[in-house]
Amino acid sequence: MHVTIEKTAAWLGVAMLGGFMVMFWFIAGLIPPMSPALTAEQTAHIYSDHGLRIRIGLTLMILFAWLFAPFLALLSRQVRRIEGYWGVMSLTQVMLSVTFPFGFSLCALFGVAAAYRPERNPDVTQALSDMFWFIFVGLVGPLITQVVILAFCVFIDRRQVPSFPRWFGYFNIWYAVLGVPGCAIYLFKAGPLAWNGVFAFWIPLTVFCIWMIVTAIMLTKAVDVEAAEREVRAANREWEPAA
Amino acid sequence: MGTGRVSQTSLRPVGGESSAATRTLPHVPGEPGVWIFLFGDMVVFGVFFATFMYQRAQAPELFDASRHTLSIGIGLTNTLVLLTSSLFVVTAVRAIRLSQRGAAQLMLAGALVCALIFIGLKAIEYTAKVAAGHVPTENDFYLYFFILTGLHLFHLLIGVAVLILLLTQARRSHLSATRIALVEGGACFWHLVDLLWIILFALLYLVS
Repeated sequence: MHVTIEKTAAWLGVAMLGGFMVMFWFIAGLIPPMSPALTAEQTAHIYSDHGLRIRIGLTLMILFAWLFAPFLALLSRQVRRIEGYWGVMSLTQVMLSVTFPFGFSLCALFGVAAAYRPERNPDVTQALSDMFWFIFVGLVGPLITQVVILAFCVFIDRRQVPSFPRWFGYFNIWYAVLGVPGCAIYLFKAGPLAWNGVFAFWIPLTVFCIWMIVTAIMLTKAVDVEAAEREVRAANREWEPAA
Repeated sequence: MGTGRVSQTSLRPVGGESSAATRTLPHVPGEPGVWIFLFGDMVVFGVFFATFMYQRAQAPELFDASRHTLSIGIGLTNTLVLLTSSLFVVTAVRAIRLSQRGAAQLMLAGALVCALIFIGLKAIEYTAKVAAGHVPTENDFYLYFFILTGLHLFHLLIGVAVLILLLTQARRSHLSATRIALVEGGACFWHLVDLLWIILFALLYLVS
């Protein structure tokens, strides 16, 4: 039962990734992103013309973003297993995991607020829209920190059968390095580091999708490693520490 | 990539495999996993370079005119500085393998000094460009110039952390196979930083 629940949690992460794509891209139409160089009137036009689409897509995200949580709980548990107790790394992992669903739902709240009153002053809509993009694209710190901790854990895992292969550690560093440019969107209104740019949006989005899928697969394997360990313990009639 | 050839001569014990099998296997510098990061990073920098080339094709005259306002002296010096640092790192890795701790530390310190010179020259170059009115908002060339060299500088700063890590490893009297692999992987990353700069130097300063 443990194994089924935990593997479901891992795949739920991938399902939510798909859900995010459907909600933001196909329903709300906010991907590809609008240009930050648009005037307030042009921005307001997008939110009034596509108001219903945007509100439906983002409403779904505000409701469902929290389903990322089991995936992150499993991730934190596996870090806890490597660390061996509730130490700094696993606790930081838990704390930052709490912020993860907010990255999606908080930005969506600003997005629906922008689309909610099409008749209002365009400047206000633009300000709310800016907040949407600032949170959605620019708030990369928590996830990068999580990923760096995960990479570090993979490298220091000295157990006979480690939970993750070492290449997964390097893979996480790759993601961390490529995710960082997103933080620069506050400094640009055009070009590759603007919120619709190649370096700040498209590459981080692509590597985020790859990371979610690879991490989900690796987590299911880590669950198998843990299950095998538990079986050996049971066969040897050893006391099982609470994981 | 400098380490490729050097590493082939290393004898890295591989746990659980017979010595005959180890001999026939081609040696991967570092550990295979590190190449996920290195190749992944190269692919993405390839995208960065392709984006630049695409933008350049949109306004070739502007890009060529702006290119002439760059300080080629600083760019060339920085290229030589990084090439020297790579040589230091190659020599350091060899020294670590031969357990010559003193020499290895000296070489890595040399590489770190090169890195600091690079950062210093970059700071001087940025300040001079901004003082001359060449800011990222001036035109697309300068936008890409600052972003691409900035992203490279970000990699170089990670590289400085890696060099410091190598320095701590060089102080150890004995290195396990895993640690030797870590050292090789770190060295490969430094060579990547060097390689990316050479391409960037050619793209930004030279190609007309």
